[in-house]
Amino acid sequence: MDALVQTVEDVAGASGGESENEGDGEDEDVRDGGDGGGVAAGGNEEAEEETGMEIEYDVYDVSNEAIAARRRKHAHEEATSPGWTQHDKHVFILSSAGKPIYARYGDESRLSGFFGVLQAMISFVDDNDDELQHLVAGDVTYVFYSNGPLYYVCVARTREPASHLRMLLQYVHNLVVSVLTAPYIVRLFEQRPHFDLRRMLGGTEPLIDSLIELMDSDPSYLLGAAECLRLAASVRAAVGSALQEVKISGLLYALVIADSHLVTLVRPKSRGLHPIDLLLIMNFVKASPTLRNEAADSWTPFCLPHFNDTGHLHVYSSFLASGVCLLLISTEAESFHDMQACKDRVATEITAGGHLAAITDAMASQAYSVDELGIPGLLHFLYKSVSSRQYTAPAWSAPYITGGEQRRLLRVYQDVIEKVHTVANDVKIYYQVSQSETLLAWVTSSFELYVVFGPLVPKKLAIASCNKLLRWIKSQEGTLFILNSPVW
Amino acid sequence: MATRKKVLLKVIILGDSGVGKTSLMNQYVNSKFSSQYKATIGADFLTKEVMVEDRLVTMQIWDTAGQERFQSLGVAFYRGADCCVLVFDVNLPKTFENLDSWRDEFLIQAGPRDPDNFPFVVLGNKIDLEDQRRISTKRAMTWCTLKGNIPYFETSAKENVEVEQAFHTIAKNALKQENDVDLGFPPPSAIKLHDPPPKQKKGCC
Ligand SMILES: Nc1nc2c(ncn2[C@@H]2O[C@H](COP(=O)(O)OP(=O)(O)OP(=O)(O)O)[C@@H](O)[C@H]2O)c(=O)[nH]1
Ligand SMILES: [Mg+2]
Repeated sequence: MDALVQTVEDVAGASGGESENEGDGEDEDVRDGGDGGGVAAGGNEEAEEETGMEIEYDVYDVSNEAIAARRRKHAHEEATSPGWTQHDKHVFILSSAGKPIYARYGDESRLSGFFGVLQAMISFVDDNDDELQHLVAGDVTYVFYSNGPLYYVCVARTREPASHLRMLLQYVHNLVVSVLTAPYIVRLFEQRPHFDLRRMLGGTEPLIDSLIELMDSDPSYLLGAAECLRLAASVRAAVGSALQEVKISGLLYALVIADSHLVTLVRPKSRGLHPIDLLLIMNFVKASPTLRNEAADSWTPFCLPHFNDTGHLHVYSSFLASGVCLLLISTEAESFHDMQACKDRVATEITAGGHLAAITDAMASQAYSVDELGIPGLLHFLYKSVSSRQYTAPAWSAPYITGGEQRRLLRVYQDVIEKVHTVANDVKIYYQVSQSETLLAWVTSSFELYVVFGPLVPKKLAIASCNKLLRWIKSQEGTLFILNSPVW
Repeated sequence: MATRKKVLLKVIILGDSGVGKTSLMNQYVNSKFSSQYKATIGADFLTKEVMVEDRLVTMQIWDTAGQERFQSLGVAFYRGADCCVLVFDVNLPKTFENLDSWRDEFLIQAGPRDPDNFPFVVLGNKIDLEDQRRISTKRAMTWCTLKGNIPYFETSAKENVEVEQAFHTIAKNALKQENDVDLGFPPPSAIKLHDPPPKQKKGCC
């Protein structure tokens, strides 16, 4: 069966102008024939967004300091403050009684009237045995997600698909669960619907802020996959075996991360670590105020919602070097001192072998650039290995230098990922041309590839380049991915 | 982790149309009064910060519509209220007689855990219209005592009589109810290694 190609020619932001050519045969040379079939919903909005309204600060600084500064800057805003309605993306958490729990911008207490309105909207629809999912008012999209006694609302002028904003809200819910566990949240409100959950979540605002920021800048969330540190396979293996030797009762996972990149992970044979759980851990390590100075070891109760959302595990974390964090995740609350002893052993072993130095070197020498691949016209790509839930991407390079450009590209990816995943039948190949770039998406059962070229790259060349790109990734596989994760 | 500094109280104001619910709230929150009547459609929300016994309290005041045709916000609306304010017009007996049904309606819809001790406050409004008065203080007080010693205030939104005092009591009683939460509550349990995994999806790596 023909692989299916959809072409969308964007006419300079005009609403209509699109043409679709189905399976016009010229893509026969693509290897994955597969079972084409579906047609992605047409339309290409990407050229219309970003109508010049830049915000006064760089939203893409996702350092904890920048996030905290932003929170302070807007802390006193209320619904009537000038500027409050102008924020790009609001996120709110409220109880089903309409009490405020979290606001990304502003003082949630002073916004309590606005929270009341949100609750009224939700409960009005709810009363008719229906569920409010999203609504669009002018250029603002409201997306609602409810889970048990909690409501999550995103109000965005970013023109992102509602499905993506809903995913953001689900991530935020997972974060809340990671602090409180799912049944505890339900029980709290079952017995007292008026409960003020800020009491239990106080102090987690930086984690929620950070997660929301990361979702705007880190493709991991978009892909539901983790990115590994590019590292010699032998170093990764050596760190893995050092971790494997840690034997403490109750220990589930041992991992080393380097600035939100995975170095390696040891796990029980039958239980992988779900990427969402891993992303929550990485966000915690990055944004937790208690870990910020990297000096002290910490021991934190932490629920991994996709592992088991009914109880806490215990996360021991310790920085081996700046940005390099060892995490030991255990079912036992009492093993802090055992963990500490283990950390000392692991640290000694990987330092002596020169592996820690290799990791810090790898962190310092930027990710690879697209130039390294020698593929003409290639600007950027995302490659996700479906079975391992890991992905790789090159470092940002021209024209994606500014935060604004990077976000724009992420939104293009987001849009395309949305298109190829929401159609009933899998679209195997999707080709899109806009004023600023050509994008080719290629989805199979084993990988997803999203490749961005300059605007004038013809389809045939793009497909040939993708094949070349796949060959390069294959040749680098051992350094880009954890191919065989050690188990115990 | 408990941060005890912030408290938010959900206060619902109920009563027949025209008794002055919106006016009382406006007088309290914005120190304003208008003699023009604008029916509340659905609900209005206002926020007011007050100090109650050394604690900074945010009152989230839900002003509802007295007119039946606008009462369409659903059951969930009353959920989780910390205090319910019942308002009548001392010059209109019907509005006083309807207090019973407002109270019952609230208790049914909100379903508080301990309905007998749920904090209500009753306000007899428009006392500035002295010569038209139809419901005596005594009669109102008797009803309030009967319903479990509900605090009663005679107010005028127009002349700003007793408004501040009434809302202070509302906040105080709501806070008492809210405080009950602190009665011991076990934190979530830890997982035992041999717990059966409730769900196991495909993992990473
Ligand atoms: N004289 C006098 N008039 C009042 C007082 N309070 C309210 N009013 C007037 O009564 C009318 C109705 O007041 P509202 O506050 O709108 O009544 P409401 O209870 O909110 O009515 P709904 O929104 O329909 O439920 C308005 O014309 C007010 O000006 C008061 O204390 N004294
Ligand atoms: Mg009114």
